[in-house]
Amino acid sequence: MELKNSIKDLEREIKTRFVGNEEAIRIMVLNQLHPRSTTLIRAPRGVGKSTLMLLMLKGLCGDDQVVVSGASEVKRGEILGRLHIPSLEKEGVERVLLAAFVKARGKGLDEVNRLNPYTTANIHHLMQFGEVWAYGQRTHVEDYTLVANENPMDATSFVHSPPFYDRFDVCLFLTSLTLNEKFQLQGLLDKYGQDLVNSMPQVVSFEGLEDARKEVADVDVDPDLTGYINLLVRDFQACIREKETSEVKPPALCEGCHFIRDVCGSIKEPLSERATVALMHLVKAAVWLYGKCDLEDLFRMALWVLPHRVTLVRTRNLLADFQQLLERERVKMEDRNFRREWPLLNELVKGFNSAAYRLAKDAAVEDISFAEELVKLEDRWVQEAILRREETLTAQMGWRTPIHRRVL
Amino acid sequence: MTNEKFRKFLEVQARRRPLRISGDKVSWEDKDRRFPSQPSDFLESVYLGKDLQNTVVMERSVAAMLQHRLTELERENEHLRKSVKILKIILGVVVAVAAILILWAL
Repeated sequence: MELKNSIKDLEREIKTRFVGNEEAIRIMVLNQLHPRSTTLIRAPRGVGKSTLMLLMLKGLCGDDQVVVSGASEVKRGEILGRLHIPSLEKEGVERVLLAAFVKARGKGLDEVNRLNPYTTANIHHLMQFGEVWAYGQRTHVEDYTLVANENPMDATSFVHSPPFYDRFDVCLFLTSLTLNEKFQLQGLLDKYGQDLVNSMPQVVSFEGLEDARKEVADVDVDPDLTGYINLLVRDFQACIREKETSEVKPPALCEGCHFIRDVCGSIKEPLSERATVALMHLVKAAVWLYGKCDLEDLFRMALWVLPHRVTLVRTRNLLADFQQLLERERVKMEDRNFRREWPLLNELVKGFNSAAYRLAKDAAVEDISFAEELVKLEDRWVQEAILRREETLTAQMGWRTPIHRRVL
Repeated sequence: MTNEKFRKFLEVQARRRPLRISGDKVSWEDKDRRFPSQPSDFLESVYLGKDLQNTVVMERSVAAMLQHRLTELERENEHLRKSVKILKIILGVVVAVAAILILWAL
């Protein structure tokens, strides 16, 4: 209970120093509750990206934090480590002095869009494997919290690869302050002597945070919610024409496709499985901290987990586009319930039933994720001679099951 | 073949929205029914070429999809209209240049 209260205190302390963007702060706090947490803050200049990053790092790590600025000339030695010259000269031994960035529990990356590709590659490796390589020496990095920020509108940016951004659990988009909020900010600056960051106390010790992370890891998520997480991610991945492996990508790939106007038709590069992991972490954290997490919460979380991982066919306003896609997803999930898709599938998994199969087939014509599951069952029934190939949905709709997806 | 957690998800869903299966019939009770239990025959007419009945009952998702398609078609229409306009201008210029060249040659 004490741990939970201290995490809630952390959120409260940040909110008393950072005006607006309350949902983003809530998600940011929840995202700290799993090992090797990574957060990306995206906003135009002067909206408070660096302030929010520093408030979180101070609140969790106190002085045990290092911020590397992409705006300065960052060298490899400052991120990873450098050779200890006296050891090399006197003993002929290559000893590596690890950089403070590697050792610190709190790691900050300011203006990550300005980091050069070599530095970014090293950080990518750290986020991927939890280790760093320097002068042929591999060092395991202890649990940490990494917060980065960037202004994508910045003209002096490097374009980092999608897999690098995929390593960030969440991406928070900050908005500028409304008129009322500007007054609030002036009040806060007066209250804290124009220095919001230095007034921030360390609310949780890192050991405390690690204990909280362990407790969160043990949380059991309701099968319903687990199913909805997987379903949501699958809907943003699924493609009857296998866009993952196809050289031709949407919209060209979608020409004449039965599902062209489904959510899948709006997505060029699909989600990675990391989205499932990130959503699961957030849901577990919410269950641990607030005692509940429902479908509504899941959809709100998705808005911070999905956008930086997906390439849309057409983007006008990334967040607005995603809100629209998620709204369509909500409608689809409701429809699935009304059509009893999952109870029907439950029956069919137990064994073939012609009446249930007929209804399932009707539903599958309008739902690709459901169709995929039904097609797998059909393959099994064909092998067991319960069904003839020409009676299957795949045959009737003219879909082809890729060899690597066939049931053996 | 089916993962245990996936099976659990299906079972929970089945418990929440139970089906009645008797012989060759599957039915269910709809307390919060907003849609008919039959799948929309409108989509079947579009995709499978079946004849429409006199009355078409449309689900919200189908209506939303049609709305989305209409918006997309409007957008495409607008795009094509622009292309036609540009092509007309290009054609006009080409005709004018050709006319000048012919007159000059004469």
